Amino acid sequence: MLGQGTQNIDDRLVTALDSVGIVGTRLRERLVKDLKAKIVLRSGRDAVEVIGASGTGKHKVVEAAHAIACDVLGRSGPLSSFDCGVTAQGQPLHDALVNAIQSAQGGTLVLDRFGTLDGDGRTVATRLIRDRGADALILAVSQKDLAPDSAEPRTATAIRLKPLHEREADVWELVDHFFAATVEDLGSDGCLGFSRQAKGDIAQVVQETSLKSVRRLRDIVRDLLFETLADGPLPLKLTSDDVRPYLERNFGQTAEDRAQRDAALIASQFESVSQRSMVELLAQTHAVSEDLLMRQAQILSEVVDTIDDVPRSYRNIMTKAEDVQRAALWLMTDAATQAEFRRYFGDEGFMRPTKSVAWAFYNRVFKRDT
Amino acid sequence: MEARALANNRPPKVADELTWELVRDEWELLLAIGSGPTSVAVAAAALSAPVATVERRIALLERHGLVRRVDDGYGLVAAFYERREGMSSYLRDLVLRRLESGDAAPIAGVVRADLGSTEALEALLARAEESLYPAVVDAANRPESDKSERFSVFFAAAADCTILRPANGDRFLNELLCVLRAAAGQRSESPSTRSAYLWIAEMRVDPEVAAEIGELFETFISNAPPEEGRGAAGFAIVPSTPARPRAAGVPAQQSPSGSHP
Repeated sequence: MLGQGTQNIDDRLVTALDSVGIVGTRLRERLVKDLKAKIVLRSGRDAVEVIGASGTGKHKVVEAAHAIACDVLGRSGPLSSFDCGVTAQGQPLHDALVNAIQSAQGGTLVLDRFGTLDGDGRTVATRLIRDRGADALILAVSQKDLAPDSAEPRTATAIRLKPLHEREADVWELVDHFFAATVEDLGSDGCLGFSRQAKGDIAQVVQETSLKSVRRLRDIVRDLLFETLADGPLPLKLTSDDVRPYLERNFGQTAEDRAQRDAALIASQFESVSQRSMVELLAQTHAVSEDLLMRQAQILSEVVDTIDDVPRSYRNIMTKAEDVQRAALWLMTDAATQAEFRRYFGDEGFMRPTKSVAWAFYNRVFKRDT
Repeated sequence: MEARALANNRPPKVADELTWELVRDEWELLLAIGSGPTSVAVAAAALSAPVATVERRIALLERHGLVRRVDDGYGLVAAFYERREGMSSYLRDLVLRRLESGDAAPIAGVVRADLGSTEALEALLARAEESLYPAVVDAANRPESDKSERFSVFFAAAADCTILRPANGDRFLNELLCVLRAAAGQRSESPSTRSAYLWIAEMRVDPEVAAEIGELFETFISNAPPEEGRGAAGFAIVPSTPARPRAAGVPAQQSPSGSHP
């Protein structure tokens, strides 16, 4: 029941991420977990600091958090915002914040530029949002995280957004997304997107320049599209020939850089391959323990060693192994008679070997020539 | 060009980025079409996709020379698709994911790490070009049987390869990965080298034909003379997907392949 409920929450979290347009499989996986652990399961009672560099999607996460607070936690109040940057410049922070929290009753209050608060301001704000009586989901938005050893007060918990260059697995998806959004605006459907090579080249720029902002990537994709469009109709796919002049001009990318990056990627991909041993694979396949399978292999090996009267051919080994296996099964059933052997398999007729099968089995076990 | 290639029993090499991109995009559809004649309806059924969508996709492939009309249907235009750039992307998709997620041992495979110097590897790969690949292509293009399944073939050779033997894990797979990695690395660093090679192919063939292809590779690699040096070569042929009965009327299949000569 709990599992079903959790699955249902996951589905609704995914819907919330869709509704605000958060793209990137890895980021979405992380956010589903974070939003559930830090907002849903805490019924929105703990203030959450959303931390990330400019352009990493903090406000998208805020929108998703508000959507899930409405959908799952049943809140119906508004999404309101309080700019700590402005208030910190001489305004009475305590009173202003108390009012903002009251106004956000039943909804979500976003404390924008929370990171700009100085030591005292941060102390006041943190105390207020921790001790608030009002039922408002508080989301504090900051560009920078506190140092791990900082004595500054913190919100109850935090969602940290990685800069784009640390989201390598999501870059291709984002490029596809921004491409699709742009051509939709253009009403053009003849171009299928960027080639893999072109996306690899763009991803390299993201890495090499330590690009943090998803918005900046969007700008790059749009630049590339419109520059190509300026030369004529869009091709079936935008290939490396279409993107490299721009990347070389604007980011100094070189052919050597590309080759080096590809070589590094090749090496890292091989290093990340996790190998299962054969015994692990077969034990999983047959739903037995590795230990059991290894003991069985050892026994089989000893059975093969007993074959010395005929060649150890596949046929002879299989015949011997099957005979020994049958004899072992007979012993396992503890049967003294063929009838007892049949009864071992159950009371119902369909569970037992037929009499003719049991007779053949009996003859193989006792090596009776019939 | 094509006529000469076919006369030599060797499909032409196609290296442009857009065509390779279409091969990657439509890998499943190309396998479903095979050597043909395959109707749009049969290809759509194989992909569980709407006929109208598949018709548009096939028309695109036809416009770009990847498939051609054969009688009342379509068939693959035989070719070796080569890419030297961006190898990391297709190594990940076409090699490593398949080897990692494999649920069965290879039906054939061998690794040799005593194949000598750069010159010896160049000679070995020249012999492969001359005799091994045409024989494999021949076998792969034989008509299917009702027992046909999809198999992936991985072949790699490199003049400078260190085989590392881990304490645990699948020993053969580890050795093969060492050769694949060395070949990929050397191709990536030196695109014009003739002493490293990587060939990936997927085909739908009868298991006996797959075993025969395995024997071709095995014989070729096993018969290479041992020499001093760090040259290595290896191959594996593995089932790509679980066995499933072929639908009535699905025609003989031909293999798309990606190569890295």
